[in-house]
Amino acid sequence: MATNRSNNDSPALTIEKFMQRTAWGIFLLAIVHGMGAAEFLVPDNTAEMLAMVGKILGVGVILIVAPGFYQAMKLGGFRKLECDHQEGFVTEMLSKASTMAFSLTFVCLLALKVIAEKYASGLPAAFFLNVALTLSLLSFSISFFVLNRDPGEDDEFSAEDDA
Amino acid sequence: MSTTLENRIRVYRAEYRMSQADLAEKIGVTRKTISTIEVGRFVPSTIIALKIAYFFNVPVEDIFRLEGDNTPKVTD
Repeated sequence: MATNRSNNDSPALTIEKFMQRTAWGIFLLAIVHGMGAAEFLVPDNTAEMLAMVGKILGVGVILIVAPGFYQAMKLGGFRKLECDHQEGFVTEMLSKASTMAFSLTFVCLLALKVIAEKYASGLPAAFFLNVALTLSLLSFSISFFVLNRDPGEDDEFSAEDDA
Repeated sequence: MSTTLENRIRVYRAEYRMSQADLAEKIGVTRKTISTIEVGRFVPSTIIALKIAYFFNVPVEDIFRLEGDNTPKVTD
């Protein structure tokens, strides 16, 4: 009964790939915000270089997410895909990663408030916003990658198994 | 003792000579979903569990079973 047909174009796999691309995009975005925060701590010439790298990474985010978005549109858009797609493992892990990131962001904001008041009152609000966004996006993407790690190869049953 | 969800998907796949990818395609999920259900890492939704049971044409209890569950029955 086994078939060799690939399910590359199935709605489930398209949504899964889109989620994975989004997570990579978010990871890159975290780095961009991290560099945005670092710009306030380094000399001007280094800050300019970081800003330039940040813009290049920003383009990278679009290049990573856009193909997944295009594939989803090609299969009839997200509304149709959601109707065809059952909530699978990756969807669940994305949800768990979001919850973990939210909790960590909340703790991070409380910690940043204390740090800002006591030790770093001279730094602008943009620095703290960038730090908070970096930690939030980084915790989301890393927890998604950890939770979503592949459990292993497919174990196919074939006629040879009978022998 | 904690309650775990045991499953016999691999047994049914073996019976019908199906790969995880084949089963995934039939019920509209990805291979990773089937794989993680089989090893007990992911508890499937009721819809996915029912779809797997429908596909193999057996009651859902034949495939999924609660291990270590002490929930009393209404007749107890």
